[in-house]
Amino acid sequence: MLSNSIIRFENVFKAYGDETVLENIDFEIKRGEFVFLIGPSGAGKSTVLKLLNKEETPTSGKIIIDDVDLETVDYSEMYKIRRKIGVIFQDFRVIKSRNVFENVAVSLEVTEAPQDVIQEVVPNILEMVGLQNKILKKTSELSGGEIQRLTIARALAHEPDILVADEPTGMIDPKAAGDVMNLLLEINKLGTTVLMATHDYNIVNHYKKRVIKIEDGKIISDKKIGSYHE
Amino acid sequence: MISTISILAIFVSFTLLSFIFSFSVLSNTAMNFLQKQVQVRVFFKDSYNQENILNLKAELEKDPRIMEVGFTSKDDALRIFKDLSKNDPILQESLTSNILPASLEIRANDVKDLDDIANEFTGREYIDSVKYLKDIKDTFKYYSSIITIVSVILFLLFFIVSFGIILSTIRINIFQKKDEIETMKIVGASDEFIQRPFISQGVIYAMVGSFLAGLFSFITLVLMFVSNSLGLKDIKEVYLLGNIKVHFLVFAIILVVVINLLGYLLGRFGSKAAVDNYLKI
Repeated sequence: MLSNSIIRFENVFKAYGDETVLENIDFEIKRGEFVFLIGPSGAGKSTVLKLLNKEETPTSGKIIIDDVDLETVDYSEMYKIRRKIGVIFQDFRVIKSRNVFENVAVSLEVTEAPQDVIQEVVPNILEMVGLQNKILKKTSELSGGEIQRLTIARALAHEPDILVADEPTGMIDPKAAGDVMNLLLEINKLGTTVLMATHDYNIVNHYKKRVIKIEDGKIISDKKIGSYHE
Repeated sequence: MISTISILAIFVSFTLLSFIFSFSVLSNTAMNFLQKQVQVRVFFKDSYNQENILNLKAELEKDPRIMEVGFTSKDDALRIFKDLSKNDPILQESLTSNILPASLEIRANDVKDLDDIANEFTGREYIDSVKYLKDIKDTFKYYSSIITIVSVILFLLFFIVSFGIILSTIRINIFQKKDEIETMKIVGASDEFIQRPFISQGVIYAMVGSFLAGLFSFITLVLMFVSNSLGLKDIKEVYLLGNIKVHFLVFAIILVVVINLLGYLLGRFGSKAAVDNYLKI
């Protein structure tokens, strides 16, 4: 039987040579939770997110995703865990040679989903994020907000259990940021666990969700309904 | 662009490969032909009569080392000698069959066995003499070895060059798609899913290049045959490997098949080596 916890960090340390970037990181996120991971730039938020899908490995400590200890998962088998996690990157990481449809379809293609499923799912997801009219556009023709919505669509296409968003509102205007937040809340309501790294205190204070605060690589607070003051 | 350059490079490399292979086969054919001309000639004393010689001939023909045995009687030898000296009537008048000995001409399947065969006759009491042009045999053996070694070295060299072309091409393709690969990994692509298109690319480049090289070589060989260059129409059959003999046009078809097969293997293993080395997942 699955435990109620979907993400667990146990005494995680991460160092690059002599430089320690994360120290004694210990937290647990339950299924269906919406959690903000906050802190100033360079605090270690992105490293925490990279550890989640084994883009980075901890120097010590355990990371458990959906009851699987990542240390026991070989890199060649890591794709099975990554398919449970949808990632929204701070720098978008769209594939410039592909159009909007193809960028979203890639999430399904990698799971070897049949073409008829891809043809059905991708337009629905694009409609959900409001890009139904941009389906055949090149990514270079989209605005910053539209690109961010495209990356959300890509992260959601394969129906992940966890959605990880690294500063999803960081490179877009406030109106687009509001749209993106509403979308993430909708997704969370449907049962997807959301972990969002941000240093935008306006957003954190407005939405009143659980807040884990990191500074200098350490968790300095973990509040059920948190706030953020610079 | 990079794919066109790679296909062209594979085409040139495989065309050279097929020409080396053809040259090797034609050399082997020439060597086989020349080797057959080398023989041990055993001359018998007059005391050893023709019946004994023919019995010995029959015995020798059962020896697996021996390809054929020819018999020249004393009368045959006289006739041949007279033919050769027909411009010298005085010499012809003075000749009788008693002067010339009967002989057996022995040809071996493998020229290497001629030494042993010659040694087996030397010193027997009924043998007058054993003539064996060892130098010619050794020269053939020497050139045959040189041609084989040079062909193998060139063959390997061009195969390695082709391997390098595939490796570099796939490496460039991987580098060009670095960001796309990174994204695919994060969204859950398996190693095999990411590697597959690069391996397919390698196989396609190598197979298109090798197919064109095979086609070009085939047309060249057929034109050589039709125009009877190197007397191919007269020879008709060539020695593929050792003593395996096939019609020249069958050889041309085999060459196309071998070149295409090599192309597939090159593409498959070249691109696999490239993804293993340059696609760190």
